Amino acid sequence: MRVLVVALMGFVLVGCNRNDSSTTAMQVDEIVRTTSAPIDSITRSIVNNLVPVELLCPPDHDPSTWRPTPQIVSKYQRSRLIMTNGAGFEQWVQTAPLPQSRVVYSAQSLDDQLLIVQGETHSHGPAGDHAHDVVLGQVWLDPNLAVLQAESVTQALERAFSAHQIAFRVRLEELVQGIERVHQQLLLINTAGVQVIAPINPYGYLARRYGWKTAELSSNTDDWLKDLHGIDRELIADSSRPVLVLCEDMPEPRKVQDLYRTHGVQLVLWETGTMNMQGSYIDLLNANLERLQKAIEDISP
Amino acid sequence: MKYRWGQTLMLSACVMVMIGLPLVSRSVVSSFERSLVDRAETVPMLVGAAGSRFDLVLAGLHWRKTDVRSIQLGTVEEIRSEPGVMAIPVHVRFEARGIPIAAVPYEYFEFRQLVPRDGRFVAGLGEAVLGASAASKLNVKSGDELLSDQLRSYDITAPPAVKLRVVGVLHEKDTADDHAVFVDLETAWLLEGLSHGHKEASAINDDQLIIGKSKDRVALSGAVIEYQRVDDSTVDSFHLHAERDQLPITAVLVFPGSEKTAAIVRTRVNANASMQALSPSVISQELMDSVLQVRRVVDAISILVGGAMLGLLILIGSLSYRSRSEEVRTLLEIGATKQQVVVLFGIEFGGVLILGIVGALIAVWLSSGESMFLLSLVSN
Repeated sequence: MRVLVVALMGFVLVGCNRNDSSTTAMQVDEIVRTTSAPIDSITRSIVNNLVPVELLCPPDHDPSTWRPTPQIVSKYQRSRLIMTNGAGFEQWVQTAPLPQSRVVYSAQSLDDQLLIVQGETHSHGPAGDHAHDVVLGQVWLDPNLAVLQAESVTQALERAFSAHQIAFRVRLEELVQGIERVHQQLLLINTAGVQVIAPINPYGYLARRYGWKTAELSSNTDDWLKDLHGIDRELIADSSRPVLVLCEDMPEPRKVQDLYRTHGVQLVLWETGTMNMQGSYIDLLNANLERLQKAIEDISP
Repeated sequence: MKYRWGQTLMLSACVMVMIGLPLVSRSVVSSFERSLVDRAETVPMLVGAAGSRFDLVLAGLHWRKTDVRSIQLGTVEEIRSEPGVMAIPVHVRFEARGIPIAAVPYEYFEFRQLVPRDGRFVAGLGEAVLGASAASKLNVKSGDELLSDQLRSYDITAPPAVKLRVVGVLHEKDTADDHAVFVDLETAWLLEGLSHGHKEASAINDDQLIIGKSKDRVALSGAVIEYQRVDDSTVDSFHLHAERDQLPITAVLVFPGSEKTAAIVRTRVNANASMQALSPSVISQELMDSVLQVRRVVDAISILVGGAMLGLLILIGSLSYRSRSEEVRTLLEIGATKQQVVVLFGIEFGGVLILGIVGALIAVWLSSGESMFLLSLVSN
C-alpha cells in the first residue's frame, strides 16, 4: 500500500515537471546598428544622439566585402533597426539571416537610378546562362542620391522611434540643406578648362551627376600606369585640356609623377568614406570639393 | 494480493483498460487539439498555393511534409507592401534523417519565442538549429554536422545532399517546433539546387569541365563539382541561379495590423487563382471536427469495453468469494467479525482498483505528448 502511495506521488511530481518549457524571452536592443561608414554617418546626423547608433564593421575593413562573424550577425539580429546602404553594396547582407522587417535598405527607392556593371557570365551544362552583374553600390557619392537615402533612413527612424519624429525631421532638413549647398558649389565649379575623369567604380554616380567622363580603372592606383594605356585615347591623349583623374588613395609621389610624365594626367584625391569617415558626410563632401577646386586652380593655364 | 499476484495484476489491468481507454482517447485528442488549434490561433492568416487547405496548414504551421505546391518569394514583398502587415515566409520540403527541415527567417524565432538552450541562432548559409526533440532523436548537438536527405536517391540530376552545421539546440516548447531542424531560407534554396558554390568559372582550367569560353562568358560542364558543405573557405562562392522574386517558398504567415488590412490582403491573394489565403484556426477547427468524430466512436467503444470489463470484474469477484467461502468460514470461527472479513476483501479489491487507476493515469500521462503522433497520422 505504502509503495502504491509513493508511486502515485512520484507520478504526480514527474507529471508536473514534464512540460516545463521555461525559457528566456527574446529581446530586441533599442539600438540602431549600421553596416558601413557612409550610412552610419548619415544616420548619426539625423539621430543626433537621441538613439544609440553602432557601426559594427571595423574601420580597416571594406564593408562591401567584409563578412561578419556569427557573433556580430547575432548582434545585428537583435537590433531595433539595421541601417544598410543597400543596392547590393554590403554583400553579406544579401544572404545573412537578418530580420527583414527591421532591415533598412536606404537605396531601395533608387532602383531606377542604379548603375550596373556587367560581370562574368557562366552556365552549367544544359542550364541557361547566369551573369554575375554587379550593381555599383556607392550611391552616397552622388549628393542628390544621398539626400534620398537620408530620407529613407529618416522614415525608418520615425517608424521605430516615433517619440523623436519631429527632432529627426528637423535634423534631416539641416542635413539636406548642407548637402544642397555643397551640390550647388560642385555645379558651379568651372571645369571648362580641364577634363575630369572618374573611375566608374566607385565614382560612377558622382560622375553621372556632374557630367564627368568615366573610365574603367583598377581599384589599385599602382596599376593605373598599365590601365591608362588601354583607355580610349579620346579621353586622354587627344584631349587638348589638362586631365584630372579622381582617386580614392594617393599613390606614392614617384608614381604620381610617372603618371603625369607618361600620360599627362594629374590625380585628385576624392575620398569615398567607404572604410572610415573622419567627420560628417558633409565634411567629407566639403573636403573633396576643396581638393578638386584647388587642383583645377593649380592646373588651369 | 501477494499470494495471488497474477490474479491481482490481471484484475488491475481490467480496471486500467476500463478507466484508461476513455481517458487516454480524451487526453490524446485534447493534446492534439491544443497543439493544432492553439498554434493555429497565433497565426491570423496563412498564404500558400491553391489546393488542399489541410495540407497547407499542416505544412506551414506543423512542418509536415505534404504535397503542397510552392509559391514565389515575390508574394511576400507584395503582402508586406500593405502598411502594418508583417509576413513571415516559410519553406518545408526537405528532411534530415527523416526530421523535417523548416526554413524560416529570424523573425520566426522571435514570433514563437524560440531561444537556444545551447549554442546560438542560425547566422549564415548552411547552418542549422535543432528543436529539442529533434536533437535528442538524432543524437546531435551544437558543433555536429547533419546531412540532409536527398530527394531522389537514384537521380543524378537531383541536387546533392548538403552537410548542415548544427550551431544550436532550442529550448523545449512542447510544440511542432521541437520536432524540426531550422535553417535559413537561403539554405533551403541551396537544398533546392537553386543556389550553389563552385570554383570561380574563370579559375577553372580543366578543359574537360569547360564547354566553351569567350572574353566575357564561360560555359561550364554539368560535371563541375559543387561544394556540398558551406564553410569559411567556400561561403563566398555560393550564388543563386534564379531571380530572387521567383525563389520558392511553401507558405507565408501573415499578421495584418487590422481587420481592414486583413480583408485587403485576403482579397488580393485570393484574386490570384494559383494562391489561397486562409484562416488557420478555421481550418484547424475543421480538422478537429473530423478527429472529434473518431473520438466519439472511441468513446462508444470505451463504454462497451468498460461495461464488459465491469461485468467481468463482478463475475470474478463473486467467483473468488465463492471459491474462498471456506477461508471466510474459518476466519469467522476463529473469532473474526463480519466487518473484519468485509474490510479484508475491501483491501484486496481496493488495491486492485488503485493499481488499475495508477496504470490508467500513467497511460494518460504517456499519451499526453502524443499529439505529434496523431498529427503525423492525420497528415499521412
